[in-house]
Amino acid sequence: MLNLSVGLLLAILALGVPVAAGLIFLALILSNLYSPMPLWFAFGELAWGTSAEFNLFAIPLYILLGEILLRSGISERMYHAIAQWLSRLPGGLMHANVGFSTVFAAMSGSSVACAATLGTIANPLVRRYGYNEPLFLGTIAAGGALGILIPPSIPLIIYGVLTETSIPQLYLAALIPGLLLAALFSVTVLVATLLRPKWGGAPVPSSWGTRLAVLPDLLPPLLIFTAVIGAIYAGWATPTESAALGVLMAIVLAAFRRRLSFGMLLDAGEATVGTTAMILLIVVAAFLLNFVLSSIGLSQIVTDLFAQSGLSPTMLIMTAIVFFLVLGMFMESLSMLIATVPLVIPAIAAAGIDKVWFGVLMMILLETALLTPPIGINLFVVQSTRQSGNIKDVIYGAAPFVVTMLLMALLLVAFPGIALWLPSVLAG
Amino acid sequence: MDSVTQHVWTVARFVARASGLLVVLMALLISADILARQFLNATLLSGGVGELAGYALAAVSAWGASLTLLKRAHIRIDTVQALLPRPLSIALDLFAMATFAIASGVLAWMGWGTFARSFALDSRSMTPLAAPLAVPQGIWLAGLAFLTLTAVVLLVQAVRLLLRGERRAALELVGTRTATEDLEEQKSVVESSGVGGARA
Amino acid sequence: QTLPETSIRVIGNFSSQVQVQKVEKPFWTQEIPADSGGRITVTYNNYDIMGIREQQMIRLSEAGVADFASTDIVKLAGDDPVFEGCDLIGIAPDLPTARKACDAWAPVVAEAMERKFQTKLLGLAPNPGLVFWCRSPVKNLADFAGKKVRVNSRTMADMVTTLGGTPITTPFGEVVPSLQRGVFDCAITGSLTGNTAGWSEVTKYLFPLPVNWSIYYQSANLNSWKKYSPELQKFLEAKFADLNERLWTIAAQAHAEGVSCNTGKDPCTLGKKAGMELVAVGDEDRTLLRKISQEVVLVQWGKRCGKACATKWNDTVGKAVGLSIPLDKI
Ligand code: NA
Ligand code: NA
Repeated sequence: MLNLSVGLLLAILALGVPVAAGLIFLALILSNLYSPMPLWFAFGELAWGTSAEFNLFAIPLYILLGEILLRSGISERMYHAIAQWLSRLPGGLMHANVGFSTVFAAMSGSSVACAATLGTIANPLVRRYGYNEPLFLGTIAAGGALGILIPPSIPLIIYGVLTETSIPQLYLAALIPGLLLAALFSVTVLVATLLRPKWGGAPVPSSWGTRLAVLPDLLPPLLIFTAVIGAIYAGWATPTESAALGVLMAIVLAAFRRRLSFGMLLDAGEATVGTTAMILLIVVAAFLLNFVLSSIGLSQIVTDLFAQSGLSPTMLIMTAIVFFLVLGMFMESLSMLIATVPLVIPAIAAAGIDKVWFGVLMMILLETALLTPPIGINLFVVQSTRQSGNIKDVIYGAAPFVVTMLLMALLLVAFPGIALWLPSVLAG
Repeated sequence: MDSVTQHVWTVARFVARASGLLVVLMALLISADILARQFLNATLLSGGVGELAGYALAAVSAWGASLTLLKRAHIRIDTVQALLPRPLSIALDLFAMATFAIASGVLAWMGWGTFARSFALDSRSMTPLAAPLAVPQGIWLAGLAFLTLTAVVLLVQAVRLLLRGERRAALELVGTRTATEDLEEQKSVVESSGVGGARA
Repeated sequence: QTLPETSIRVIGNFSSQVQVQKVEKPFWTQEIPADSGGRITVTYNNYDIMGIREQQMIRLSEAGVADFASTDIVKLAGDDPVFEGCDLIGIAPDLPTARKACDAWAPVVAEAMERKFQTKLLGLAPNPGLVFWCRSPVKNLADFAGKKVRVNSRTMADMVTTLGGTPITTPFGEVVPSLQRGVFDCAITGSLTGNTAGWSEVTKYLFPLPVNWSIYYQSANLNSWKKYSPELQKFLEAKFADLNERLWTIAAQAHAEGVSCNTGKDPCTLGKKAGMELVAVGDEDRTLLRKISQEVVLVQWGKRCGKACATKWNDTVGKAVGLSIPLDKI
């Protein structure tokens, strides 16, 4: 049953069937093959329940936030301000890419929004300053991935909903690993450019005068981060609700910059709806599949496989890392999260592994999935923002950062405190 | 583009724009609720704003999926397809659209069952809002039905174009989205934002 | 006698509840197969693990997605207000009263389930009593005026509003962090349910006045049931009678231990000891709750359920608990 299910999934997707439709078909096929009950009778109720789930409203909110920031020029000014501060390091604007991603990630819960924004702004600069193009593109793709690890984060909200884990706890746990990973990205750039100085490009002109002058451009992200995260920890709002405050703040800032118009909101809204519909259809389909998988007992089979394997918790985690790494090559990260969490979490919980900690590990593995071919959404997004060139450049450029992410995952296994220290300190 | 597809486009775009404004409106309503709770010790709609946002999400995602389909932006994995000879690749495009039509048709059919039951029972949500569920479920269901219609129209038109030998036009309806098309969209966004990479 | 070989599918109640862990799950996964001499095989899953929402359970049961199902009955009241009848806020201050109320109302529930949802009722049983958990001191029920209180149903929201408080609806999983951060002052849930979910670590004051008992049902899909042979039906009915007795017994134990565990006392075998302060419940609190029930909760429910339903309630549950819905006000 397990082999057939995984095989069918890969076959359906390889045929180029849209991911959402493929998941629904797999659910129908498996329930016909293995269930004595008409499981699909439940699909209407389940699809409605998932579609109208308030916590998922965070998805359109964060996408809208990113659209407004991009369309009001706030993101672009932010990037150039960060570039003024970081471009003196060996590797120049590549550090600005990582820095921008870190800051953008602190406002937005979506990696795609982060990579698309950064790619659109930074790509025209790669040839002007003579950077090694693959490595430069790699910093954009990898930096974009930070969007889901550094809070706020849509996948962490979904993980929290699926596993009934506290989302604020998850946010606290993900913060230090997120910043550490950003720092490791910069170190990766430093190492690469120290080994090959030519990759580092020509220096970007900067001075202390302009550095101070551009400081106000860093105010918007600070305000939005404070609104979104502050509202959660001050007890004003739930993680989903607080995304709305981020949108409100973005609208106010756009108005302040005299870029707010009805037409702009209309365009931003239309783009938001398009992306939301695409993501939510996959989410609904994955929920239906999950219902069928647990009904026919496949979830139990996977849990038993893990339980009877006699693996120690550490070995179990290493197995999970390999499992997600391989799966992440073929699957889109959000569908992977939704499809696998119900299978894996019972086994993880049974082995006494902390669900909050595992959520953070899971985010890092989802990030690798965004960067690994053949299906890496961030690779596609970054490629789509280029004027010309082959996607191979992006794939090669992202590879060193995949290695860095794996290193981060191992660090997290070796030192769980990286994730668990902050929640433990602030919970008391 | 033929007139049927054109009509579908017009409706899809209009609804997507209305849905976009609905998301903006809900963002403002949720913000107002948070602020009212904090500073006025009151809640809007007796605490039902979140529930309303849930219904909005269902409506927005069902109705918005049509425009996404017309823009060929539903995620498909074309790695294998790219290696195949052209006729086979086009066959897979048609197959993909057919499966999409069936899958959304299944959802719409199942959604009809849910809506019809809520309507017959006059079901209410078990919250202070006590919303009559048939209303949001009806809007959601109509969106799914329109999505199915869109998929069927695209499939039929693509087949007709292929039979007439207009391969390129057919691919514009059911083919996978290319990197160039994504780029055009991104560029137009940045240009309209007016900053356009001038400062570095 | 030997039973016919039968394979049945069960969607069980919320997986982490104590009665599910101790009684319901072993009942389905061990007792039924063993006591039927291996003739009955069971596939058992809990609705929360399958990603189903409580309010959808009756419709799934109706559609025949499972042969047997169990969930909170109040959550079905959106489809038919009748389902709330023996679990209304404030009608049953203790378990014996709740049992009398549910015994009186069960035929009405059974009739509605059968007629509208193709489902056979096989029993009603309670959770630990739903009580108040607060961060800041409270002395009595009137103290909830001006406080933000997390509620989980519409009638509970009616009660909090009548007390002068602000009702807030938050998903169960978000309650602990929200209490920690002070999103609300108090929250209401089962005395032991909150203990095992960690509420006792983020609140200081326990006000153990049960407002209701989260009554849940056991049911069978009517078509599945009708296909069973008479011997099998008899076997299952006997098993369910026994199951229901045990569910009421463990609820009494769980409710009592909930209060003692939270306040660091014995007996505490089902939960973990915590250092909450016990706020004494006075007679005036019970009187006030009963008054709210009579004047607000019953009137509003009567309006939702209709005159015939209210009349039936007065003749059954009303007599059992000593309350009555004023028919002229609905
Ligand atoms: Na983020
Ligand atoms: Na990948």
